[in-house]
Amino acid sequence: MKINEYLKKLHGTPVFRNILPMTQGALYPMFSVENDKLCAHFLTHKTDMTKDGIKAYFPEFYMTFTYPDCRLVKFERLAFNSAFTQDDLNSFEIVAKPTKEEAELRHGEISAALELAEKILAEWDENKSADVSEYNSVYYKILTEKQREVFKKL
Amino acid sequence: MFEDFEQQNGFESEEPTNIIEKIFDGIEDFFGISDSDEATPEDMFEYLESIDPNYTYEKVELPNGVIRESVVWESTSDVGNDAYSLYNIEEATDAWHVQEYSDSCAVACQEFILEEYTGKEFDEEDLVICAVENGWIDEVNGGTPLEDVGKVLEYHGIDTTTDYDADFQDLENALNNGDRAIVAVYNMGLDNDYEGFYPAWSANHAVEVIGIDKSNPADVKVIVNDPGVEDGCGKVIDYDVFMNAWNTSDGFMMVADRP
Repeated sequence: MKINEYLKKLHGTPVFRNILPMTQGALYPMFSVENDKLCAHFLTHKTDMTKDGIKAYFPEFYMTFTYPDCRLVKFERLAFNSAFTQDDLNSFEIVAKPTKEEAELRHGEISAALELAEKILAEWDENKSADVSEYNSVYYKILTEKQREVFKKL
Repeated sequence: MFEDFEQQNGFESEEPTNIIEKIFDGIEDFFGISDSDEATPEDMFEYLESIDPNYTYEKVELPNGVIRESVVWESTSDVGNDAYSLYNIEEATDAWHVQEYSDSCAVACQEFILEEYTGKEFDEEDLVICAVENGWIDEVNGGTPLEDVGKVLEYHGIDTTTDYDADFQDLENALNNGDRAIVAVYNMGLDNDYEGFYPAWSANHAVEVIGIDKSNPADVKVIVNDPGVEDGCGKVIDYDVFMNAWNTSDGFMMVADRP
């Protein structure tokens, strides 16, 4: 299954239609293999545009879905995770407004990461043992500092 | 009239350099029209048909009661018919304001439609309270789930239809019926500066679509009321940019039936 087909399938799940408020935008997933299941881990958070850049609020939800059946195996509101302090939960970060060149560069980086995600899904579809580390490493670098901190604590 | 017609069709040079402008000059000579006179669409059609039978005359009554008369050439008859001038954009933009809360975009969009359809003033805060009391807004976290977009309208007697997998033609059809639509988008995707910048794939924002401008088929525009930004009133967005932002919801669209 293509990554976009998988994400499209996720749109049809109850959690995206009925539970997640529309303010929440989901980041692309990190992948892991657990108990012979390929799992996709998503964070969601609010973003606003400001004069100076993007105001990205602390991630609020963490979800894990299996691939390819989109079974929700974990759904967590991070306010109820003691790994995060009240300071964490009320914080946000401003990502500087990109120049056109920076935006194009980032778009290229995300596209390159998604190509690696395609490779993971294709390998899994062929019953091969998927190596998720290269994609995770590339995608991790694209994330903001705060998003990385959250993934580290999960 | 001629100037408007020329501008709409992109013929703005002063010297008549192409066949269309020569035709316009011909019309003026034919009817003895000075700059201060106006030829009616029927006059224009009579003349144009005499030189090319492919011209047709159309008289359409729009949903808002406006009569639109135009002369179109067969091969370009679709140009302009879907232009945003078909819809009364002003009624929709009159209702726009910036959302009062960071997570009330969907409620604000419903308020715009309520005010336009009913001609009455509504208070966003009252509508948010109504939505919270009925469970259509997440009380703890704020925000409206996709499934509950339109519930505030239904509560006030406006019928709605939700499509989780709509395409651009569905959106056009809704607007051609005189209806307004709310779509779910990725907010940064609507801004050229940020498009493709941020590593996210799902929609996080609602905007009201109030028109589609196809007057230049090579440069289609979508007109939205975006409650999330200061310049969101009747904001004109390139087709590609709009589609990229809309695709993040996999084509979520709620259409409010005009009473």
